[in-house]
Amino acid sequence: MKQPLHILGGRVLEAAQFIGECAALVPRTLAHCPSAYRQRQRVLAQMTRAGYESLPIAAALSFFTGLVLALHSGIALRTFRAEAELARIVALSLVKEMGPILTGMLIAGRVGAAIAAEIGTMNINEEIDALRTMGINPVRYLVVPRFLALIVMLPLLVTYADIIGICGGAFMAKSHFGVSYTYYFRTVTRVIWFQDILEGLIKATLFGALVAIIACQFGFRTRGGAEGVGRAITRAVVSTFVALFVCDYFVTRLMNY
Amino acid sequence: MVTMSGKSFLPFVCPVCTGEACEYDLAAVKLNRSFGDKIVLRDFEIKVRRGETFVIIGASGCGKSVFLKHIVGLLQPDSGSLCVFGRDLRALPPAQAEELHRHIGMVFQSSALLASLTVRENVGLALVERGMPAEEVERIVKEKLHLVNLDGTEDLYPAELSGGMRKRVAVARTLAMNPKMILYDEPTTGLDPIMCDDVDNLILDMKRRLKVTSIVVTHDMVTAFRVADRIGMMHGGRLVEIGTPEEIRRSENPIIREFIARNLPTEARTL
Repeated sequence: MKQPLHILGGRVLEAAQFIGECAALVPRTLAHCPSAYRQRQRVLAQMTRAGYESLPIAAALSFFTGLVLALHSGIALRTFRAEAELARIVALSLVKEMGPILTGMLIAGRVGAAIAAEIGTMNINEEIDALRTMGINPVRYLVVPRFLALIVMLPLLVTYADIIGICGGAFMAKSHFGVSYTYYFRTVTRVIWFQDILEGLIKATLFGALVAIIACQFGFRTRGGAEGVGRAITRAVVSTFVALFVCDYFVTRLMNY
Repeated sequence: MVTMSGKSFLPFVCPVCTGEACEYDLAAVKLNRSFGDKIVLRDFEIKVRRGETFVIIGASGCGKSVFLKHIVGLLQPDSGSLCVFGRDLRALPPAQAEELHRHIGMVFQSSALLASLTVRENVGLALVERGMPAEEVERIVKEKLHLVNLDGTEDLYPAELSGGMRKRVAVARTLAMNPKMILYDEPTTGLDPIMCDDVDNLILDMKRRLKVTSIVVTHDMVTAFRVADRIGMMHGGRLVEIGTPEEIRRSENPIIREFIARNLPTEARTL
């Protein structure tokens, strides 16, 4: 029986190797980005899948997040008779933190899982080897369109989710705490600064890159048939979630230094 | 010395032909490859003449497909020389090796058609990626599909095709690149006897019409005897015997005798 330390060491080495593989994939992907106009159809198709088709679920998620955020904040603020400050808390929480991280997790679960499954299945069916034998670089053909689609669409989705979430908060503020829509939205526009929006968008762009790179790399290293594809999807989603939170922490530290 | 595209590659000549007119399209010299502790290729040697159909037979997992993947650059050997069209692949700069690989087509065991693309898109994929005009791609796709008797299937998806038809599309996709050498990895595995005949005829047809060099990896002895000019038996990481189909059929080597006995129907052994 293996010693616990031996198992732990193996896991750490495996994680380090995966991080190294992802780090190596980034420059290879960026190197092919300038010629992406030649495959604009594939980029647009991926944008549609990652962005447009995620709009309904992103709207539902952010609207209810706005509702819950306003409800919790409102109950706490009521103790101090400060319900009027509700808009400040909802807007800043959503724009700086909740919007990017929740949308990032949504896209990791919805799009990242699909990417890992698609590339993993292609890998098992020798389709990626076939691309190589035809002189087609798999990074250029498979990773670049997904990478570009996600780094473009995730900031747009986050902006959209922020607006819906703030509207959800307004609905709760008006219906439950008697804060007028006019006052709520005037406060929102007053408290949100350009730097707050920038922080959210930087996070969204980095999250998009993380989802694409991690999901693609898990797809490329898929082995072992249908079971292997299932394992790749689970690992891709879980690893992306962890990466998103780690990245979120460092960007927050950096932007609020 | 064979040259392609009018370029000279003298510094990277094959050690087999040593710069003289090379009669071999493929030559491996003391090729070694291991995966961890498992030695898959051990001082592997082979010479395949231009226009020849060379069949490599051997048990599953003996390294036949691994060798094919070395030829197309999907795997790199640990040591030894692998010369294609008179040039040592290991000594060539990556850009020249890539250029050389464009003259080699591979038909995968699973056909490896992109499931999300139609037959038209699969066959024309490499051409589109090279920036060829759409009309020219369409013309070549139709021509290659006609060559493999699959006219009218352009808009079908791989899932709508039979196993034999998928193999034919895979061959058409390979032909679209005008290869000088075609590698077939287990072309008849998983097909019924009629489909196997169909694929055998296709290999023979391609050889007759296009004069390409073919390397077929299989454990199907019926296919091996039908399509081969020469057969090599792979065992223990190397070719233990090479000969014409007749020589292999009459071989006294116990490894070959046992392999044929297990993989050839009784009635076919004396044909």
